[in-house]
Amino acid sequence: MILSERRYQMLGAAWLAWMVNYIDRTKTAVLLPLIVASLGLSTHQTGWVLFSFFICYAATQPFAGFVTDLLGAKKALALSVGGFSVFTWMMGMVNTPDQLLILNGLFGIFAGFEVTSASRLVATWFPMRTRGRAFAFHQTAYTIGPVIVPFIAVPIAHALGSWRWTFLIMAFFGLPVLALIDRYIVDRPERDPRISDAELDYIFGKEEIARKQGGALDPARARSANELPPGERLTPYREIFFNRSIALMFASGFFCLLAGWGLTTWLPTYGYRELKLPLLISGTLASIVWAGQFCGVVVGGILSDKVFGMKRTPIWILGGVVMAMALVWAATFKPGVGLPVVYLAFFIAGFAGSCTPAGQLFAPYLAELLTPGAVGRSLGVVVLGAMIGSAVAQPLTAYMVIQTPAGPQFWPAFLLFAACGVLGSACVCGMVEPQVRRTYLGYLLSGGKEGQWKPQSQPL
Amino acid sequence: METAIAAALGLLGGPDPKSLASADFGSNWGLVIALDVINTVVVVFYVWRIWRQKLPPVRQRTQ
Repeated sequence: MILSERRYQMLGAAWLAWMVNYIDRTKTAVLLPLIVASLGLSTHQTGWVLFSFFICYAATQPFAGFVTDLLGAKKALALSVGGFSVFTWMMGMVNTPDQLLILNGLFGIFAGFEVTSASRLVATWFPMRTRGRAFAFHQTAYTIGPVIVPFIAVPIAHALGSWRWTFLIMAFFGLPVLALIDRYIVDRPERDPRISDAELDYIFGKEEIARKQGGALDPARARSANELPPGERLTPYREIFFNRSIALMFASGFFCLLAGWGLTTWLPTYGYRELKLPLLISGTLASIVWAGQFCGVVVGGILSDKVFGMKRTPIWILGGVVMAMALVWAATFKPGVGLPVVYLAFFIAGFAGSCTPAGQLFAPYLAELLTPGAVGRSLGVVVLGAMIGSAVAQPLTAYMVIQTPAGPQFWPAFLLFAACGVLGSACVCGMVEPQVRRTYLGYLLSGGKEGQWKPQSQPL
Repeated sequence: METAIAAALGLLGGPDPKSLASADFGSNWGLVIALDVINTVVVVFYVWRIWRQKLPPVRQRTQ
């Protein structure tokens, strides 16, 4: 029975935590019209309230990565879920815009601890051959959460007469997740008293377990091979922070999330004002992108593990380019274009947009480029870049839209997103693919010859 | 300088709220406070419990 395996129990708890995180963070946007009316927020203040979440979330990432690697992913995950649960009910009690701004920022800080900790857990608990698919399953949570949240948040607010009740009730969603974290999550498989020998062998292999029995939780702090736990190798700080592939991943994450968030945020407005679609249909355009992302995450994980032999970068190179092609196509749409055509273009854009370093496979890649125990702090750097991209996406998109007497024209924004997709892929082309010991592009151009890349510290 | 401070205060303060939390919750205010206290106590309990746990020792094989 699959659920008796400890790694799947851990994955289920981490998935639920990620799902509740996304439900909690998107409820504010869904209920925004009610909040604006209730607190008398101006457009300017509304923008700052939303921006405070993104900027605090982004600024937290490097620190969250350090806490995750240093103190353990379980503690970081519990801190995240506990923190955003408390700040959720507190946000339901605000009386002024400044209180909402500050609490949304604090909410962002605690929500920001989730991605580094859960990513490190998946990287540590799953062997390389299934890591892509396991992390793909984990990432489905961020595609499902935003789709279901209107069906939870809005009915509660309507039934009980105030948006505040939604915040109060949703604050309780984190409590069962905390209980699951307490019950099912252990930082490392070999430290879990309930894991079987067979499962340990499956995760690490018998030889690795016999060879490494060290107790260091953070491989960057291990001074010798004797201190290393199974599955890890010595990874000094310089290898994490002075690393070309990490720097390029930072840049790629920036471009890809700029395109992704810019697209999903502005699509309903585009559908309603430029394509002159009914409001309800316009709202479904963003849902189509999320549906595409769900399929992209699942398919990308399977393709990476099964078809590309655990290579991660080919998926990302293809993702950015295909997203760009779909968005260039969408830039040609005029009012009266067939709805199936619009849906198809944005489904492809969502599908391919998830196949980028900010959407999927980032935990497996970092685990294989560095070591699973360094995923927290390296991912903190990468997500920082991605979140800066998502923060600047809103004002930049607004700036790119052309206002005409007939209504707004979004094609310059779509071309910007397409350029971001191409730039994201270009960055990935310069990143090392650990499975072939060189960039994947170099591997293809050389006719499939493996390169000479090796970690700065040799695998032990 | 004064203009900048006034702008900042305007951003943070804004107009008077149209509804206060206590007014929105009405007669349920006591229930709301009780739920918030329960939520916080449970969160603090679990976070405290998880943060004080020591990592178990490396597991010895059974065979």
